[in-house]
Amino acid sequence: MPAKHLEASVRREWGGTVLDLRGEINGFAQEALNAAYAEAEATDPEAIILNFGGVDYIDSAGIVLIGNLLAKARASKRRLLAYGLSNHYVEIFDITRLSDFVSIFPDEQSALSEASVS
Amino acid sequence: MKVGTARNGRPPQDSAEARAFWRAAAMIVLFNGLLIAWVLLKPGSDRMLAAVVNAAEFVGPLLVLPLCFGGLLRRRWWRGVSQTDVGPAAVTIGRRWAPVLLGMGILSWVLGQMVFTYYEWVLRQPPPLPSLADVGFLSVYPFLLLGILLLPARPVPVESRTRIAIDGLMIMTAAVTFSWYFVLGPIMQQGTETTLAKAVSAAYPLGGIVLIACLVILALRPGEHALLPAVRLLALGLTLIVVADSNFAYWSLHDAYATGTLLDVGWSLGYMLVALGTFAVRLAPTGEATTADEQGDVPRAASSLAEQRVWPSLLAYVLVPAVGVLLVYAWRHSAGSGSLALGVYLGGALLIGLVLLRQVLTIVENARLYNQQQRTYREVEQKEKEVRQLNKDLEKRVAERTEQLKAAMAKQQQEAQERERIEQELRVARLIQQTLLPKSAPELSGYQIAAYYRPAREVGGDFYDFLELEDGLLGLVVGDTSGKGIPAAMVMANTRSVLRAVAQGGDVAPGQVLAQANEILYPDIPSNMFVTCFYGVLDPSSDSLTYANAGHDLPYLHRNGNAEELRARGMPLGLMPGMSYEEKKVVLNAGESVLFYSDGLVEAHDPEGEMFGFPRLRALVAEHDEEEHSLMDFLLEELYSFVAESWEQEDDITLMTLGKIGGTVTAPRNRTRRTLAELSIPSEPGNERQAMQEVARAVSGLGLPERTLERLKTAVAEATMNAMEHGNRYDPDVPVKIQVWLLEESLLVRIIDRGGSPPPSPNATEEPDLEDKLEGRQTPRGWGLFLIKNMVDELRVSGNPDHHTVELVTYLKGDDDAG
Repeated sequence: MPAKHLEASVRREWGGTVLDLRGEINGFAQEALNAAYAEAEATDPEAIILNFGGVDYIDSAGIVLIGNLLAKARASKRRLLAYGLSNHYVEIFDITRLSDFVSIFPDEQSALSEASVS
Repeated sequence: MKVGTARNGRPPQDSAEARAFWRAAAMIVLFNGLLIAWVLLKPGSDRMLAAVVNAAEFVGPLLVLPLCFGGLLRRRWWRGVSQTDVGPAAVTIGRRWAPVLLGMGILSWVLGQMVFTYYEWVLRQPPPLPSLADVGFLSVYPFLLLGILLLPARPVPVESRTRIAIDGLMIMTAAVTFSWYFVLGPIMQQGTETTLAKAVSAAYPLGGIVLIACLVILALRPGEHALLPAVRLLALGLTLIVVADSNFAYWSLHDAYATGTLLDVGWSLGYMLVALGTFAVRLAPTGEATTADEQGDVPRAASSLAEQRVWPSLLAYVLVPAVGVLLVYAWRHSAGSGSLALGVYLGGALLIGLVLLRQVLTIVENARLYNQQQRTYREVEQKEKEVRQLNKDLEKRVAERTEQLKAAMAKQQQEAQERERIEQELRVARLIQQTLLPKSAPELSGYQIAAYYRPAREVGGDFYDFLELEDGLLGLVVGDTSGKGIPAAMVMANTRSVLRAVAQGGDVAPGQVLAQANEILYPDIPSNMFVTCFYGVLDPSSDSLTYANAGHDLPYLHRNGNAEELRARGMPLGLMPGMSYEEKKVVLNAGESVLFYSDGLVEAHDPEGEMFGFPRLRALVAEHDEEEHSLMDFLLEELYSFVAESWEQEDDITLMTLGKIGGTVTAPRNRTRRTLAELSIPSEPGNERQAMQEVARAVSGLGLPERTLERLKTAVAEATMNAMEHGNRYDPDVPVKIQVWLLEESLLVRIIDRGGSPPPSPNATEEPDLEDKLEGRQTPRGWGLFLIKNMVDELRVSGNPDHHTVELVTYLKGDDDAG
C-alpha cells in the first residue's frame, strides 16, 4: 500500500499561525513537518496551531516528530495548539500525555480564540 | 641580548636592551661622521677647528660612558651575582667588574682630554710635560688592560693556556722591539727634558704596547660566541686607539703633530667603540657566555676550535720575519753597535728563544694529543668490536627466534588443518546423522505430530523415528546414544537401522522389538556405550499407545491439566544380552498430548548454572494450553527464555509431540478458534499500513466498535513495524507473518518475525514519559510498545532463536470497559 506522504502549509491568522497538515505523520514526514514548522516560526508568533484535519494516520514515529515540535516550541516559549484530531488520536494524545502540553480544540475557531486570548 | 643572537655571534637584536645597543651604535656613527666632516671641511679658523676637535674627543666618549656604568645603577649589581649567573666565580666577577674597569679607562681619557683642551683652548698653550692631562691619559692603559683581562673567559687546559701565553709574549716582544727602535729608544735618548718627562714620554709607547697586548689577549681568547660581538667591538676600538697613539707618538717625535686631523677622530671613535663593546659585554647572556660550546651547537663549536688553532697561532709567527728584517736594518744602520741596535738584538734573541720554546711545547702537546688520539682510537676500535659481537648475537637470536616462529607457525598451520579435517568429518557425520532423521512428521488424521531436533556443536547421539507399521499402526521412536562424536553417531545409525528392521520385520509389540534389537545390538556396541530408547506404537483406530522403554527419559502425558509419566521398566540397549522390556498401554483422549524428549532439554542450563530439569518440564507440560500454543512451540519458547542469548548448547535436543485432536473434548475448543486471516507482509518501510488494513478487513465481519477497531489497527501497525525493523531488519525477503484468530471470547492477532535475539518483555522496557523526553532524560523514541500495550487488552511476547511472536488479544465482550 503506497504511503501518503505528509503535506504541510502555513497560514497566518489573527491570533496565531496555522500549520495545515495532510496525509500521514510517520517516519517519512520528518522533513516536511520540520520545514513547515520552521516557516511557521519565521514570524515569531506567540502560538502555532496544528491542524490535523487532513491527517488520517499517526504512528509512533509521528508521535516522536510531534514531540520534537513541542520541544522546539517550549524552547522558544511558544504555545502549541491543535485541532482536527479524530477521537482515536485524541485518545493517543491523552495516553502519551501530549495533550498535557498541546491544547486540543475541536475546531480552528476555538483554537484561534484561545491563542488570541493568551 | 638574546641567547640566540649571541650564539650566532651577531650584535644583539630585539628587546629593550638590544634597541638601546643599536641606538648607541647609531649615535656613535653619527657623532664621528659629523666630526670627520668637520675635520675634512675645516669650517672656521684653525683655532676653532682645534677647539671643536679637542672638545669632541672628550664629549663623544663622555656621551657613551653610561653604557659602561649602567649596571652600577642596578641594586643587584651591588648585591652580587644575579640569579641567572652561573659558572665559575671568576666568570661572574669578570662580568661585573670588566665593564666598570673599561669604563674607568674611558673616564680617564675624558679627564685627560678635558685638561688637555683647557690648556690648548683656554690657556692657549700646549700642556707642560708632565701635566694632569698625562695622568689622565696614562691611567687609561692599566684600566683597559685590567678590564680586558677580567673579561669572562671559558676555562682552557694548561697546555693551551701556556701556548697562548707564549704566543702573546712573541707578539709583545716583536712589538716592543719595533717600538724600542723607532719610538721608545729615541725618546729615551732625547736629552733636553727631565727624567720624569722622559719617563712620561716613554710611558705612552709602552701604553701602546699595553693596548697591543690587550688586542693579543682578545685575539687569542678561546672562541666564545656569546661575547663575540663585544670582543670584536673592543678589538676594533683598541686598534683605532693604538693606531692613533702610535701615529701621535711618531708625529710628536718629529714635531709634526697638530690638532685637527683625522688622527684625532681615531681616539674619539676608538673610545666610543670600546664603550659600545663594554655595553655588549654587559648584555651578553650570563652563564652561557662561557659555556655555549659545552651546551651544544656542536658544528659552531668545532668551527670555533679550528679558528683558534690556525690563524691565532700563525699571528705570532707573522711578526718574526718582520723582526728579522728589523735586525738586518739595525745591523746595517747602527753598524752593529749602539743602544737602539742592542735592544733590537735582545728582542730578536728573545723572540728566537720563544719560537723554540713554542715549537718544543707544540711537539709535546702534539705527542700528548697523538697519544690521546691513539687511546681514543683503540677505545673506539674496542667498542666497535663489542658492537659487532652484539650485532652477531642479535642476528643469531633473531635467526633462532625466526626459526622458532616458523616452527610454531607450521605447527599452528598443521593443527589448523587437523582441526579443519576433524570439523569436516564432524560436518559429514552430522549430515549423515541428520539425513537419517525423518524429513517431516507423518500426517495422521485426528493427531498432531511434531518433532524438533537441534544438534549440539559436537555431534551427539540423539535420534527419533517414525515407523509405518502394518494395519495403520505408527511406531514412534526417541533415543539417545551415550557419548558424543562420530562413535555415537555410528551407534545411533546402527540402532536406527536395527530398530527399523526389527519393528517392520514382523513383531510389532514394543517390548519384543526392544528385546530383539538389544540382542542384535549388544555384540556390536562397544562395551562402554549403550543406547536409551523409548518405543511406542500408536493404534489410531483405538487411540491407544503401546510402549516400552529401554532406560530412556520418561515421556509426559498431558492429561486433565496434569503431566503423567509414561513408565515402563527396561535396561538401555546394548548393555547386556537377554533383557526383557515391560510393555504398557495408554489410551489418548482428545486434547491430550504426549511429549517424548531427550536429556538435552532437561539438562540445559541458564546463565546462573541452574538446570532446566524434570520438575520444570513436567510443570510446563501440565500447564500447557493447546488453545494458545502447540506444546512444541510452548516448550521451545520456555526453553529459550530460560537459557541466555549466548547459550552454548551442551547436548542434542530432541522433542517429539503426539497430540490427539478432535473428539468430544476438543471439538468445542477447536471450533472456537477460527482463522480469519493468514498474512505475509514483506518487511519494507511503510508496509505496516498494509498489515493494518488487511487485519481490519479480516475482522470487518465481526462488527467491532469503531474505537476497538481503531485501537486494534494502531496496535497491529506498531507491532508489524517493530517486527519488520527489529526482527527482520527490513529484509524484504523475510516477511512478517500475521495470523488473525477468532477465539471464543477474544480476537487474537499473532505477529511473527524472524527474531534473532530474545524479544523485549512488555514489562521490562522503561515506561516512556513525555516530560522526561522533552527534558532529554529519555530518548525521543520508544513509543511503539507503549502504544501497543495501551491499545489492546492483552499483549504477549514470546520467542526462540527461530522467531518472535507478539500476540495481541482484544476481548470481544465488555469492550466498553476495555482500555
